[in-house]
Amino acid sequence: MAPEPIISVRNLVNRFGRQVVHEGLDLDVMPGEVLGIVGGSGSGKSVLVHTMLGLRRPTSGEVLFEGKEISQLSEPELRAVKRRYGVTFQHGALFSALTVAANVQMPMREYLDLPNDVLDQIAMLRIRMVGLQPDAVVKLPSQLSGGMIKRAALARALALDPTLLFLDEPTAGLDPISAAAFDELVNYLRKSLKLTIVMVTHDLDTIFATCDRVAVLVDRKIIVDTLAGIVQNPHPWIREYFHGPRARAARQEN
Amino acid sequence: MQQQVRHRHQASFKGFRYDFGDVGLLQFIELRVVLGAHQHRHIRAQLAYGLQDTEFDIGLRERNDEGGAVLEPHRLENFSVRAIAVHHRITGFAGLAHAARVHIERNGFEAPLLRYKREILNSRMPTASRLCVRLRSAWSASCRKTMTTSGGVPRTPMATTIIVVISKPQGSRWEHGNAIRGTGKSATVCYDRRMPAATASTTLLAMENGADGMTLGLKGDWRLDNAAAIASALAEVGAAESQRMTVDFAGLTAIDLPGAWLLRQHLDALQARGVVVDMAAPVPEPFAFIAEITRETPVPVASEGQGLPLLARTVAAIGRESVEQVKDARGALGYLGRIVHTGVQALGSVKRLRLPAIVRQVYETGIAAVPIVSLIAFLISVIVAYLGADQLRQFGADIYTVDLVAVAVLRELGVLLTAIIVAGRSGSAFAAEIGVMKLNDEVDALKSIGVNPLEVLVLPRLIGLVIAMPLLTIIADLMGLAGGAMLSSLLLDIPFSQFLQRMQEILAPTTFWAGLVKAPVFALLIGMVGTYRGMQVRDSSRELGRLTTVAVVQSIFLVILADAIFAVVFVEIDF
Repeated sequence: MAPEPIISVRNLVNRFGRQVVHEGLDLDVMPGEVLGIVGGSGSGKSVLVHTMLGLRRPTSGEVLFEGKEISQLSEPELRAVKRRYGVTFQHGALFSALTVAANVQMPMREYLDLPNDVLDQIAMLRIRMVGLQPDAVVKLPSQLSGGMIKRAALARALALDPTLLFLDEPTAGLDPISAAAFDELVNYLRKSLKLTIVMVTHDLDTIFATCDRVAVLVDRKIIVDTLAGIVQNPHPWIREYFHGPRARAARQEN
Repeated sequence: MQQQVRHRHQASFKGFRYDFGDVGLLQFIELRVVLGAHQHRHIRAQLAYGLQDTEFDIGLRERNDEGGAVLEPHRLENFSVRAIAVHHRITGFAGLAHAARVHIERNGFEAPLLRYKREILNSRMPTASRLCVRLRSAWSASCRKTMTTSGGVPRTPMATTIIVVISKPQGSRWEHGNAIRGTGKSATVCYDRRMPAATASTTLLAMENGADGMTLGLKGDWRLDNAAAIASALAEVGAAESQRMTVDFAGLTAIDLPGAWLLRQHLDALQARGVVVDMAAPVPEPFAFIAEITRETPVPVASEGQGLPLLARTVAAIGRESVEQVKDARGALGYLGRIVHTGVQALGSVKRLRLPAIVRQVYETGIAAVPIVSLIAFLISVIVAYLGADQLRQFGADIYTVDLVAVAVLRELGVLLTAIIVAGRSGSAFAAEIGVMKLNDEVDALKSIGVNPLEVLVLPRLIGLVIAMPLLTIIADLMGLAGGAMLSSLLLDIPFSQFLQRMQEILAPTTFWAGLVKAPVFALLIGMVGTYRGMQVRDSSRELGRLTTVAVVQSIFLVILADAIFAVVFVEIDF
């Protein structure tokens, strides 16, 4: 029996006024995979992720989380679903008034009733997991470098041991060394924690280093295939994307 | 039936942090089923749904002291002995709660006669007997008490008390009220919210002292949801002194990273105290991950100044605050200097004055504020005129109301009210706008383009406000006088023409200017404070809010202070 998808998007339509972003889009996220979502600027990657997270109500179509329609869920059920996924946003979206430790503890405070010393200890675990130095816990987000912010955001996303992780542009704005380290971290966490990861990225190196399957948003639809398959796809935009000068370099490396 | 009872329990426990369907609840139930005479049917209904589960046919036989079998109860009074046993299966099945002991007493005057331990417990709970021994002494006394109070009036000589102590945290007492009280008619299930981690010690950890040190048997669910219980269970390990410790993972149902991390941290602390810790294979997966991420030794974070006594801390705080204030004042002075410098430079060319921006600021700080300024000036002068007329009428000096209103509005009220409203509207807007731009690095972007942010962001706002404020003041003056005139004609029978005539008689030519001349000064103060605080924003949204508040409060304060100085100076120079 084929495994059930964690998230399926069925016949999704998203429209802003007269502008159609998605038109009858289908997508399945299978457990344990790393799915990369790519697409040109303005092709609706973020809109798609926001819809999958239930942060945005689609114009029509449905999003199923483990077979259950997200928009039909009651408040407690939705909370239970939200507990199962962790999200990092493109710019980190760390709460600027809170220290890194408090940022990481925030979801745990929301969902669990734990004493402070336990929270501190678990926050330290998350911070070590993502490879931040222990002295980072007392820092404010503004005192962190770009790479550290990404890691701290990942630590917060991992706070509740999610099964599903959404990463929005996890390596954007990082130097190649930090980006490679982040790729390695993602691979490592995925292997050790058996996470399912949905990743929006433009970074070809990241795609080749981490993704099992790639979903390309073109012409308001989505084309999903394995990494090897998508490279062979005849669609002109995809060809351009994976066979442009930058892609060649990235493929050679991996 | 089973479903029904289950639903009822779930309903009655709604709002509690555990679903009753969750075995977690059993952790802190002490279930005493008191069987008097005919109440068995009541009790059955009160028992947790698990008791009704007959899937497993583990029987509990009652025996008397000599080991002989006892007669089965009457069918209608069937206190399902088997059900109790099944209940244990439930607890054992979950691996969370332990039936530490089951007492079956013949009557209230004998000591507990029978203790069924292992026989009635699930085979997966090998430690039950030990737990029973540990708890025995603590519970003997209360068993008897229960007998005399609740089972005190046995209808039949065969009154039976069954006490099932499911568990109790080591070293803690059952609070009054969290026991289950049998009233003789029925048994009530009580629990205590205050003890969510009640059974941590008995359900998550089993400590066993052997020849080669202590064995730490991990049991049950060591996952994040249970973290509080895990932490309190681990806290007890520290108290146990042993030089060697072996951790056994055999009894574990589940462990995740946080659980493993808490254990690892605790073991590290023990190792630091010289305890030798071994882990019996197979070690669960998360530990390998933890070993991986802690390869570098943690750096302890030193906190500064915490050990100081209160007095020293207070002095230090005052000192720090004073230094901050001095720095702040110097910073403000420097800011003033930079603005003057930028302003003088910008005056050199029309392009650098950025006329469109200035016009926009005049519109936003001036024209957009006209309705509210007019309304407030009008109302305040009505109030002043009303109060004044009321007082002056007593002397027959009604006509002086005109003097009062005209002088007060023109010299003070018009400009001061305008300044306060503008400080609230535009001072805060300046601080917030510039603050957000700072947070978004827009100010740095301007600098990098080679544009002076003071010239683009601050000067147009200042110049715009300096233009707008006097205009607003004139409008406020007009509306104030109109308010006074209206009130005079309605209340004092001073017609409008007479009001005007009287005004012309009494007003010195300077009165109007004495008010108006203050407007640009106030405008500068408000604009400078607002933009300065905005420029100070960095790092966080909280700073933005704080500095916006500071901007408004400080600019109003400075406006009033400046007004006081003006008042004194004008009197001195007879302006």
